[in-house]
Amino acid sequence: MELERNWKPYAKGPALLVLAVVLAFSPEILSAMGREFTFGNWVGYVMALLALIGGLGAVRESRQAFAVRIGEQGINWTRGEATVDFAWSDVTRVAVEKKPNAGKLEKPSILTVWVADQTERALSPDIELTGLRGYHVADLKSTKQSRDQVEAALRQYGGDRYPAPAN
Amino acid sequence: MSTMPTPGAVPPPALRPPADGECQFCGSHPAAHVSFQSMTSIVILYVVSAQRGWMCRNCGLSLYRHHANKTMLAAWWGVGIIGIPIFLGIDRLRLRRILRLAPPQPTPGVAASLPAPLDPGKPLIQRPGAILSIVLVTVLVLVIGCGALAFGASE
Ligand SMILES: [Zn+2]
Repeated sequence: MELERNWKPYAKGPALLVLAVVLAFSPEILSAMGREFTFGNWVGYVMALLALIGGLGAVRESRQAFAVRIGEQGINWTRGEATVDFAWSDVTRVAVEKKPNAGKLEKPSILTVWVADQTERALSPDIELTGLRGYHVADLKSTKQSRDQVEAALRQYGGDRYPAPAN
Repeated sequence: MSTMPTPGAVPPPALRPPADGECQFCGSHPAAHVSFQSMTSIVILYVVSAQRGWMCRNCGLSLYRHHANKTMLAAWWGVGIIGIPIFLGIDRLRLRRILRLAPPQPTPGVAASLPAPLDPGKPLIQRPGAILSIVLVTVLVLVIGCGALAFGASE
């Protein structure tokens, strides 16, 4: 099974850039409505700058190569110029987990691969525990394939490395 | 011995990350899902930082003290001053769930980022934030009191 990005990561950058333009003109827009920023126009310009930085970052991220393949041999993961092949024999556990610092009600969406070795890979781990390293391979909120489809593939190929989901 | 990957085969007894009900920092149990927040304020800006997740008694108490101390140090310097009692009150209410937990026990087979539960550290009242807040509140009360007295005398 191959994971592909859905429209969300592609829309985020342009949406933030449009917001940045609106914010850059927000003092004029507000004055046309007969209002103004309580603390001065600089508030609008600072927010515009933040939206611009966020928008450029999101555009750059969405232009990077992204591919995840879950198959009989293991999981192949490409991000940007780097590719990592996790053979099933190296994988201790694979699961769809919540983001770190997530609220109690948030649904798990991060496809996470756990390995017990200390091998240096082309991409660095996102979580380091004593004797276990976790890689955040994909956020299933921004993939065309649903969590159910991904979990079916993990059950099929990952066997007992894929634990029964908690919720 | 074959090193060929065997899809679906049972791997050797393996470590796992902390699950729900286990401390996300040290892996111990029991744990409660809580959130502690602190606030930093400069003039008209304020920034809230929050830590959420499953915590054992020790790690939870340590984080509560860290965040409450941070609020009492950093929220005085801008509009956030109004929020100080709210943040402290909410964090203190949430702490009750942590204090009800039994002392943490290690969970076999769980890999965590900390080898042992966090040291809860000094009580809040002995930390710089509490000392600063007591000084500031005392000064405020004195200034307002003297001002009121002076105003009363001039009437
Ligand atoms: Zn703990």
